[in-house]
Amino acid sequence: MEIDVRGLSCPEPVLMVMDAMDENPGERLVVQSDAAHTRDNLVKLAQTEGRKATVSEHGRIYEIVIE
Amino acid sequence: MDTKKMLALWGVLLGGIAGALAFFGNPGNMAFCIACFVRDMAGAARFHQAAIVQYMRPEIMGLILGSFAIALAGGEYRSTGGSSPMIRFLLGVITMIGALIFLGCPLRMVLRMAGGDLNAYVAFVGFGFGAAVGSFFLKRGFSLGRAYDTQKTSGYVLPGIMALLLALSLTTSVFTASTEGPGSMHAPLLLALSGGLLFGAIAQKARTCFAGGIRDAILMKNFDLLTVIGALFATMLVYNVAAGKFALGFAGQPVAHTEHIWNFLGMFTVGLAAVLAGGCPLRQLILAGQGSGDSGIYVVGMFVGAAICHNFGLASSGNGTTAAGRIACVVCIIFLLAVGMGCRRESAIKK
Repeated sequence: MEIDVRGLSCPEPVLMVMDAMDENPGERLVVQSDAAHTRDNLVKLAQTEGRKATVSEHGRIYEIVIE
Repeated sequence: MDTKKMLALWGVLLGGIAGALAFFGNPGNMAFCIACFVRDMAGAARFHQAAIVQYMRPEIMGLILGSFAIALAGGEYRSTGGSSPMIRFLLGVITMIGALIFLGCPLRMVLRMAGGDLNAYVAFVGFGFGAAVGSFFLKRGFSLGRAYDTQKTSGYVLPGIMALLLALSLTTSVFTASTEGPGSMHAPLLLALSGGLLFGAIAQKARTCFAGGIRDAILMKNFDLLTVIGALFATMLVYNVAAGKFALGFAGQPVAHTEHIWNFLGMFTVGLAAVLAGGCPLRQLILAGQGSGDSGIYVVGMFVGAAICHNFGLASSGNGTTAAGRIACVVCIIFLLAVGMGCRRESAIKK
């Protein structure tokens, strides 16, 4: 599942990803963000939930894959 | 060093800067206050005529420039805008109204708490309630919509204005400065500027946010941001006790009043507005420094709000609130509740 959180204010991206995790347990999530603090928050969220997060940078966009 | 210890260290450094600024001349429990200092700057530029609160505060210029520099250096600078800017402008105005009814932003609230001012504890409960109501709206799907990339130079405008104000402060006498009252109490310019720069850089790195601390604890059971604030509080508490400035009580606190309901509601307004805007006044200045035009508009709203507060008698004083201020506070809360209920998020999920 892909989630586009670009341009959204804190903490909307984290809430949206939390909801997606609750509704689709265990599913691989690909999140696109343009803010460093959102990237950090999502990695932290994944760790809290016992999931693995991988970050890659594509130009000005961060892609966070949560597995 | 693990994350929690690092965050606590950032908080201790922020507290240390605030303590140093108080030691070198800033008003005791107003060592660093975003709302008060923006209000002082609005006065210095004659946007309002309240003679005791006029001074072009280098801390604010430093804060924005410090965030700007560290964001550029760390590759986190992004020039963005377009997330309901006019609502954000009003959130800035409203934040200032709420803050000047209590007499302080969330940062000063914590500094007042560390000085033993019990009125600030009442305000803290109000701030927490405001942040909780904002969190409730967020959970229900509140959003001001997306920001988009803008011309890179757009994000340079606010830091550029701050640099210009700084240059004018250093080289001319075009700005008014109070000769008595809180506006007349200030640390030496270069020290205040350095404190602001450092504070801005650390706050950018540590993502320091007073509303965010409470919001993250409620919504995500995450206490990272509260760790920074707790360490800041503890450092200032130690400073106040060591310097003999700790005085526990409601009455007789400097630049404060004892009207509990309005201390509560003033900061309720600030807490709610801050969560709806995505960050407290400090965080908005930091985000504006790292290129957010939406936060820049919020900061402009704070300047306008300061002028409104003093030109139309909404701001409280040590003697208490005003009738106009109380009416404005209630109107602001009604507006915030309407915004909270009315602005909803669109789905961003592609299956």
